[in-house]
Amino acid sequence: MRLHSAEGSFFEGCACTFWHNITREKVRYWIRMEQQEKVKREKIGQTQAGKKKGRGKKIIFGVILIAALLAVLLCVYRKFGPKTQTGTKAYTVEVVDQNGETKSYQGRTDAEYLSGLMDELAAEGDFSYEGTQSDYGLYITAINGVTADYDKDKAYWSIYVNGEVGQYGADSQPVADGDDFQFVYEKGQ
Amino acid sequence: MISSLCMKKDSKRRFTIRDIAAMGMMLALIEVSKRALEFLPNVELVTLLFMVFTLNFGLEVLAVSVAFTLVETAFWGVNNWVIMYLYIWPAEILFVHFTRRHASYWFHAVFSALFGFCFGALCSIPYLAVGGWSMAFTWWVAGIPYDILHGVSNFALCLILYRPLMAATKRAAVFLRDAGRSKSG
Repeated sequence: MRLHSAEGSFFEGCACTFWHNITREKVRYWIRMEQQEKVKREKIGQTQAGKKKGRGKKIIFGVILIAALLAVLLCVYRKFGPKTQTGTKAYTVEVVDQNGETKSYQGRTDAEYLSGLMDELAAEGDFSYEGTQSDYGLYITAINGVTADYDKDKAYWSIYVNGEVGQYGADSQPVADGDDFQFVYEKGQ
Repeated sequence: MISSLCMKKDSKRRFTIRDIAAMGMMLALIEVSKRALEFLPNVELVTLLFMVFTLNFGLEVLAVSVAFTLVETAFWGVNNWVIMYLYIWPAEILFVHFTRRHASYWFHAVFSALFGFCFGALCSIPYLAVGGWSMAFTWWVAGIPYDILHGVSNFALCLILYRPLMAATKRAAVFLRDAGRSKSG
């Protein structure tokens, strides 16, 4: 549909050929196309923003999950982790060497950790130990002159607490009243 | 979204020579990274490497995990951790493989952190059979500080190294796939 007549142009009478050929349909078509493009751009923008928002939510959820699990671990460790006992405590220490021979020590100590008790025994003179400080704590390499060399023959000194395999290194193993500690020379397979 | 570039194999042969060579290289990388970071307690690239390899090579990485356990056993000797290694790394590989369609950089960073935090709990499972709940629980609690360190370091390493490792491994997987095609063609 044209502006003035079915045949006539919107810019009829104008000298310019370009403007002369523009019809109302063309103008409407361009406007419609422009509007469609705009809607399309908005939709794409909304989708991208939605995706970004969704990803952001997922990241936040992940970080919350990490923080929650971390908090649970810390609470459990605080509640059930090793606890030291102050004051004087009775103890028994046994050293079982590579030949299965046992040497026993008994007494009372104020040490909170096993390494402190070992230092006390060493100061008394009848007990000696050597160890290295690793990232996992004190690693015992020798007791009473008997060296366990894992690199050589997969030998190591095991710690038993009240008959069960110790769960902590000597410097983080708490000493409780009446505890029975064993240092046993063992070999891996 | 990450697509697996698993190579299609001859139905008669489970692994081609090329697959075996690729698995050997994966194993070597995992072993070297483990030895290199051994001085840091519970800081390792094994989790990240298994993850990246699984995303690019698929379930054949399960065989690498078994080979890794065998090499570690040959080096350190037989102990309780051998049982743990036999299910813990395959569990990671299976999880990564079956969630790969929903996977992303952040998804894997969060997963590696959670995997590190839960590592001790997963490893304590054999102690259920040995000494019951109390032994498994005590063993897990004793290792919690190291689990925390493990999770935090896994998260940081994944954030830093996931993208470069993925790019390099994807390139290697494409190269191997294309080489396989040109050879068969």
